Amino acid sequence: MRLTASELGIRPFSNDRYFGGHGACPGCGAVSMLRQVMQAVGPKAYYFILASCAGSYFPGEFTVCDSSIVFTVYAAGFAEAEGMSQALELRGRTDETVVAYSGDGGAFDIGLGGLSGIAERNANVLVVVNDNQGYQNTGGQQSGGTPRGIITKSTQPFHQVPAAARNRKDLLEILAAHRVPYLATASAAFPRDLDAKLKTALTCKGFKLVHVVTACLNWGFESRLAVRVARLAAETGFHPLYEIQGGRRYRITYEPPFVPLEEFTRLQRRFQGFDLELLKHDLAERWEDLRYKAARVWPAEVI
Amino acid sequence: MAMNERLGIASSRRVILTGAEAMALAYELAGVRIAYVFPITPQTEVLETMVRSQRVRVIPSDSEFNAIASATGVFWGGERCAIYTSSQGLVLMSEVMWEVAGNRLPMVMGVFNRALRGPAWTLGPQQNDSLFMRDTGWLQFFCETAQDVFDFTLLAMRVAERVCLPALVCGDGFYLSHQKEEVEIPDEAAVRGFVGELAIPDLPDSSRPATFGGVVSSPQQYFRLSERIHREVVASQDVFLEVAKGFEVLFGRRRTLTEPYEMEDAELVLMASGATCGAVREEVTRRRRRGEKVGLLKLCSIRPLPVGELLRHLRRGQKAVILDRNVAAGAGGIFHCEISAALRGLLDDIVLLGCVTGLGGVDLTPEATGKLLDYLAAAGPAQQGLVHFLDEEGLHAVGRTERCD
Ligand SMILES: Cc1ncc(C[n+]2csc(CCOP(=O)(O)OP(=O)(O)O)c2C)c(N)n1
Ligand code: SF4
Repeated sequence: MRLTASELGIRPFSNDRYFGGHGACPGCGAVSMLRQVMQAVGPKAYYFILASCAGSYFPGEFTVCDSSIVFTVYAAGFAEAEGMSQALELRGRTDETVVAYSGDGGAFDIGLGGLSGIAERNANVLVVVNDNQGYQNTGGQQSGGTPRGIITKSTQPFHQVPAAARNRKDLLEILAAHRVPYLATASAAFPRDLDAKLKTALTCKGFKLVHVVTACLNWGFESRLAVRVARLAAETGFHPLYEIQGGRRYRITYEPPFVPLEEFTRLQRRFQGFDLELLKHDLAERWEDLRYKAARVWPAEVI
Repeated sequence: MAMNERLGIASSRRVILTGAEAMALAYELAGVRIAYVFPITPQTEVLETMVRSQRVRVIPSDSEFNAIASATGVFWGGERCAIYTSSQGLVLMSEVMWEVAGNRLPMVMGVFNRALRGPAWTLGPQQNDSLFMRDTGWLQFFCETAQDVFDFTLLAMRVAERVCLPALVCGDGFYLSHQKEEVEIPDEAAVRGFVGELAIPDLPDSSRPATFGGVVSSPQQYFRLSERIHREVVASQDVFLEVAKGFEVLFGRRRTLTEPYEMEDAELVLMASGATCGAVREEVTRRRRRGEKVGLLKLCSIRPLPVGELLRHLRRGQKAVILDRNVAAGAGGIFHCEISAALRGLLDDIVLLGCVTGLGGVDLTPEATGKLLDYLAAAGPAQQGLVHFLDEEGLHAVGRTERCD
């Protein structure tokens, strides 16, 4: 039933570890992110994939990459990856990497308990969160990762809570409170930054997580604009790029030019009719907090 | 391996253990090196026993859902993993349990059955927790004694790995988990030899990249995979007997999916699983002393449904009643529903009644069993259309089209 790429006679057309044949939307930001992740992690890896759009990035019947892919039911992927890493350790196979791959819905909502659990137990797993800011595989409904004010397929026009009444969860802060070895945000449109973070993550034994915001066609932009949208997310400061060591030591890895937010939002339908002032206020507050934490000097004895 | 020269089997020692301790010990002697755990009464005894082991790495998880998810990961990594639960914990695992069976991972999970939070909270035994999962492809064995727990945990490992399906080893909470009994524990090397190394044919391997459990390309594929699981569960009856043969040679105990007691010339037959068998056996013994032709057929599994063995032990002209410590609301006792459906056309000249007992831990006494036997003696085909309930107030029956008053 399970055919590998080589059995099907498929050869990679380049040195890419993730090659053609996936079924994602043309322009999907997650696919270019994944290609970079696989390149950095190398072939000796197992990817545990939570239910998400990644179901179409890895077709069931043949393999479009040179690593092993294990699909899991929605909330189970984090803990499954932990179990695999335990088994590999018991069997002395410590040169292999276990990756758990999740959407924002998987990490922020339905699997948050499991994610918190493996963080607490410091499981030797690399978690990659593909944050496309909603339940996109099911058509684009609101998740705990959807920024406030955005109209999704599950936002009722009549009974909508005021935008000010809800906000997206801050995943990295939640995990920083677990004091895990390594956390980072990244963007597929900033490949060097992403690559450096993945490599740092892989030097840590224990829990590490890279949170990547990727542009999704459900945001309402043309496919050809995918990379521009992803770049603007970071350039406007909408998606800050930083890392946290040990849950305490923050470092901002990219200083954005703070391009006006409108340049990012006007390319996407999801921001239509939304008062940007609220969002701008959120971002200002977030950056203030980040700068404060990044500037903190830790006394030598606690480092 | 140390031998008992006189009997020609592996040497063993007799120890006083609870069912929970017997389960923990079976995993440990089988060489299982890792367990994912989460507390719930009455299964917690297994957890606390295993924590004292220096050889098993016991990892406290954050929920039963994630405990079984991690256990699944351990099997994906080519290791056995111990796991056990009860009641709410088991139904919380249900989503992952479908996946474990579908992925054909031979996980063996211990269950001390406890009633679910339906009408109220209770700690009492009832089998609806594990039976809720009977459609998944998990094999499901039921134990009466601590010896059963020890033996079936080992047997389940071998059978599960032969048919590439997971298995539950169940017993009534408290009655079995907490009562101390004498158990024969074989020499460790013999146990290791019996279970062997874990060998799963198709596992992720980074030197041979492949995709596991993705989207099927056609409904037909899904259909065939599902049918295959069904066939494998049916076939596990024979696989069990083969494995049990090896078990008997090594350990000197004969294990089967049904156990007859005073069945040879029995005219009235009581069928039951788990701790319920205790009261029934007592009453059967009393009646036999009075010369009555009654017998007990102990049911040790529902998956596989031991149809082959049932046909061997039951005869035309008999009257039988199946006691169920569980209820499928609207249908009756689950063993009864399943067995009467399975026997139809294969063994028709038999009166087969169903009786729900012991829900939530209501005690089933030998006296109450006696009342049921008297009722059975007078019953005919008409009573087959009823669902019987036997509780502390006595026996009553509910028709199939009755209105609630
Ligand atoms: C328990 C459960 N509930 C619901 C679903 C349906 N479902 C599949 S994917 C998905 C959304 C995934 O969203 P996210 O995790 O953000 O990943 P994305 O598809 O956006 O990459 C949902 C709701 C499911 N598979 N399992
Ligand atoms: S819906 Fe969005 S995340 Fe999913 S494949 Fe399409 S672009 Fe990618």
